[in-house]
Amino acid sequence: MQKIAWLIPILPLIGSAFNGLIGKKAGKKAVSIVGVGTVVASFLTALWVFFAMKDAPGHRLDLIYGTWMATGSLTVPFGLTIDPLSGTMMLVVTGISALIHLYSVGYMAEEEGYARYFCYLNLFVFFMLTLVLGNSLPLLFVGWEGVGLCSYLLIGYAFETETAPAAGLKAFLFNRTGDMGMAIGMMALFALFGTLTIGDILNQAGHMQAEVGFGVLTFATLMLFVGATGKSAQIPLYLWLPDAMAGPTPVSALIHAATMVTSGIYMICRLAPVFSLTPITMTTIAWVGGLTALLAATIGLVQRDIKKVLAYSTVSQLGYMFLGLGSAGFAAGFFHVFTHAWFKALLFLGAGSVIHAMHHEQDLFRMGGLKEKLPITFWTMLIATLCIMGIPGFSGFFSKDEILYLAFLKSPALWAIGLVAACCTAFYMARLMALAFLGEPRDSHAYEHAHEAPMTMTLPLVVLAVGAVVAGFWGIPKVLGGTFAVEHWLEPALTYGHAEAEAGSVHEGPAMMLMGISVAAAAGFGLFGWSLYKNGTEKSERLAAKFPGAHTILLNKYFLDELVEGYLLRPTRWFGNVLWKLFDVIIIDGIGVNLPGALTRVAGDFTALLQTGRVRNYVLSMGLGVLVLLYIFLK
Amino acid sequence: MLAPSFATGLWENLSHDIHYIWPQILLMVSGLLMLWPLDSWLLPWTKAEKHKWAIPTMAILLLSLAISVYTPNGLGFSAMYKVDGLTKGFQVLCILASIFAVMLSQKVLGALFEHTAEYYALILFATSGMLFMCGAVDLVTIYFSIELMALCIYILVAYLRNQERGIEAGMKYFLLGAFSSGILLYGISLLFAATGGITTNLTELNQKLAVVSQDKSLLVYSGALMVLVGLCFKVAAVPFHMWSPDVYDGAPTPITAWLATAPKAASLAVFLRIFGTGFHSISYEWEAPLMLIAGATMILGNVAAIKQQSMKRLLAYSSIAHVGYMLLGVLSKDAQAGAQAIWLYMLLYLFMNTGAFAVVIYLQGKNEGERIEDFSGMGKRHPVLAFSMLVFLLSLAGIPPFIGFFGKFYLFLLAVEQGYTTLVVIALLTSAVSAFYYLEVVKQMYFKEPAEGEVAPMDSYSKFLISTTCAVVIIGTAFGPQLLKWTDDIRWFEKETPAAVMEFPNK
Repeated sequence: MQKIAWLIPILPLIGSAFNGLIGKKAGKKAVSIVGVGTVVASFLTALWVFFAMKDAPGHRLDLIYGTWMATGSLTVPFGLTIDPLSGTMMLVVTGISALIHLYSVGYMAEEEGYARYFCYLNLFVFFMLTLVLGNSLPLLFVGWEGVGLCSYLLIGYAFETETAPAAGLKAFLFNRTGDMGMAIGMMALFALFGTLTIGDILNQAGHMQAEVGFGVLTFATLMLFVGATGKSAQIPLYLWLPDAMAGPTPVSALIHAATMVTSGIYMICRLAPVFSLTPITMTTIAWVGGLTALLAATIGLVQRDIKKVLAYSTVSQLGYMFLGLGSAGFAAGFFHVFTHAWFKALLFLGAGSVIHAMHHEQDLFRMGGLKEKLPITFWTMLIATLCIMGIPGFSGFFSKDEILYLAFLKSPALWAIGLVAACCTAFYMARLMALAFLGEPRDSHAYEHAHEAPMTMTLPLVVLAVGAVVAGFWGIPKVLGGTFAVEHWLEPALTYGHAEAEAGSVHEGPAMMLMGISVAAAAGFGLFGWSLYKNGTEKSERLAAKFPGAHTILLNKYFLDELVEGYLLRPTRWFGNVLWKLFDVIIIDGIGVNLPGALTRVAGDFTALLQTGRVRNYVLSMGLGVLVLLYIFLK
Repeated sequence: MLAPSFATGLWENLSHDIHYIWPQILLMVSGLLMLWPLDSWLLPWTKAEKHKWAIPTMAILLLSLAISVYTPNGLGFSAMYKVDGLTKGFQVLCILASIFAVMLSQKVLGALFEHTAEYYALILFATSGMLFMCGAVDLVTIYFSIELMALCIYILVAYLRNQERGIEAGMKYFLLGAFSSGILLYGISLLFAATGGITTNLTELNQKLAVVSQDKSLLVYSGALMVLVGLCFKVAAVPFHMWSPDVYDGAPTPITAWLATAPKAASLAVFLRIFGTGFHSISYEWEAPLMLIAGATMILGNVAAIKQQSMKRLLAYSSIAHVGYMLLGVLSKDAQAGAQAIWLYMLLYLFMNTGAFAVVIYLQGKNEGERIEDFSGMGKRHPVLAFSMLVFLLSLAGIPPFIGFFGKFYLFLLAVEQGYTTLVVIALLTSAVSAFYYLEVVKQMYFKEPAEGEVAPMDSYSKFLISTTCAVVIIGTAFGPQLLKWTDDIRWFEKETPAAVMEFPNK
């Protein structure tokens, strides 16, 4: 019976096909029902399969549906794996997708390409589930590429504007750069293990010793990590994510906050036994994650676009997750994926609600005072804000604190970086909330017309808010008397029954003190931001004027986009231009194509000369033809 | 040896063998009846009504098509005429081409009020000449049937009497045709002399030529070469092609379309008859010249087409080039496979070529279509027509998946198997060149701004022809891979039956 798990990804695919092929004719109502319905059905199926998996021996379902490809020594089965890791992820994906599909019904109601939007969104769910459930790396890669494609399509959804298609292209190119690493990593793993089935790789990895120095395994995992940096927006491939906010807000919530961008972390968790064999890669991951968290959080301090703030926040939180993974806390990292999915989706949907109310105004400096107008949005977003700040009792606290603790065990420097980033997070989130909801309305016209969103939009907000609070209690740390249940739950998937319990479970050192410091810092910076912005922007402007240099640098995102443009894109374009002019125009077109063409033309001219139109010439040519033939062959 | 009682036994021969030539008789008699008394007495249609002649003409052609398919195989008329797979296969092609020509004629003749019974009768006469050519197995029959066809075509080329170009073309064709006839006849007589002045029958010639004495080899060689030249003129192979661009350009466009298909099909049948079986014993004599001619034809036909501004001239050169390819099949030492490949190629070419000409003729109604520039912006002005033209042109260029590709593929494959690698390389290279000028038209249609003016609505004949041929070219693609298998069962060359041999008492 568990075999029907294939329905989980296929249902959204059916929805996508329906919406893409006949959605436009069927009307918005049918599109909504099919679009939301298939994902909800997929969620229910997933729930059923999840409990089936829970009862299965070893918490593991391996469903093989046949052989996908068999060439030489490579045999790739076509199957799904449901274990605690993929099962949880599957529920998160389908659950949050269902909510966001529902939200989209309200948010996109006025849009032109309604059916197209749901076609892409359903297709995304299909690919994301393929990525999550696929039991082999190639199948995972299909999903990996597929979600990239859907991301591209959805970012460029408003293709008639100028920015959206460009942002889509940017996302696609950055993703492709990462995917190349992913593909190389896969090939390296195949060379090492002789198989691409995830289960077989992990089985073998369990019997291996950790690699000393820089070997093939380190290379393979590093390449996979490059893939992860592309998909999960880490240094150096994070630049696309802020631009991706050009897509519709529900898309930002689902794809660019809750699910797709976490697939890099998911992939590393999936291959955790392999990654834990390579200390060099692990350290790299930790540092890249930590630095990304800090970099993005500082940029987030000064952004004016509400979605840009959240985008940098996402990059920063993803950095935390990698910091956790790199510090050998696979469970902690994944736990943060889990909690983050709830509160970041909530933040984006809340922002969407604000933008919706303000008639597509995204500038924080033109908002203000919306608390009365949008009470549900305000309170739910406040919950999410407290989560992401890491205030005790809210989900973000549990996951983030675990990561920071593990980072401290890895290196105090990493912990310090994480702490600073956490302070920045608290500040910019408080700033966002204060600017949007407190103080006087700075755009009175838009304020007048602002109104709370319809039910289809507020319901997901409330559900997500409940989830955002509750999610944290899955992993109450041991230092607070909990069991960090999430780790125990994920253990069969993360260790694959080989490695002993992870470092994170042994709580030693100054755990309590570290927690106290981070909570105090977050609360302090949160209050600082709150008080700075609650009455408008004057105070902050004075502050910015005191540090003009720092402010400019942050406002321009460290000029990284400009650096990429100047030192990477421009030379590449120049080089491409040279290749075009030299090889294409001169060598290929000129010597390769046009020269024979010109010669043929000359020959054509010559034959045209022969065609005089005079009968006597023709007769002569015939006579000559006979004579020449005779002469040649009679000799 | 000639049948001894040729004159006295005429009636016996005719009554005994008449079932072999019912299609020809049907065409001849109906043609004659059309001229008199039907035209002036029984069906006194006014000038505006004369286009109705197309209906009975097509009916007669269709009837003869049916009869020719069901004609029993055999040898008759003192071993001068033979019905076998080759005969029937190419007769089908000729009749189909003639039906298409009649349909194509409606627009042009209608616009000029030039419908007359003579026009249709001449097409019927010429077609009967072609049908004779397909079955002729005696050099004399071959010569006469070629003349029967050619004389009618001379008139048809010059049919539009008020157009100087047409008159000039007809005159040219006639003069050059007469010249080539002379060469052909001279070749025949040389061969006749070389083999002792006994026979002109191909089978017998083949046997005699195999054992001809050394001192007569000059006669044999020059004779074979001249017969070759005479036939090359008919299919417009280089360097005996000079007439064809001028004639194609000057003739009424439907006749041009017809010239590119029907007479060539018939002439290729004769080619296969003479060089596939008749001169098999002396293949070393004519193989090298024919290779040279085939290569030159492919090169010149394609290269010269590039420069053309006139659509009709372009298609004329293109048809020269296609004949170059088909000569590869004549060269094949396996006559069966050669005939099969040529027949398939000709069949597919018939559809593509007719379709392309139908588009040209359709545009011509508005004084367009003559020049390649007239096709500019067709993609916008008339998307359906432009798409059909695109299909025809791509197919003519042999670009997969269109059906023209399969014709080329089988032909070239055969040639490679037969060891003519150099010629196939030339064929492939020149095919690439051909894509250049075909795509030039496509470029005009899709990448140039539209010329001024509306496009007239299509008449039903154009509609029918264009849609049918286009459908065949596209749908046929699906069956392309099976074409060879389906035609494998056709026995192109029947072994002579004992009954036929019995008719030679002296043998």
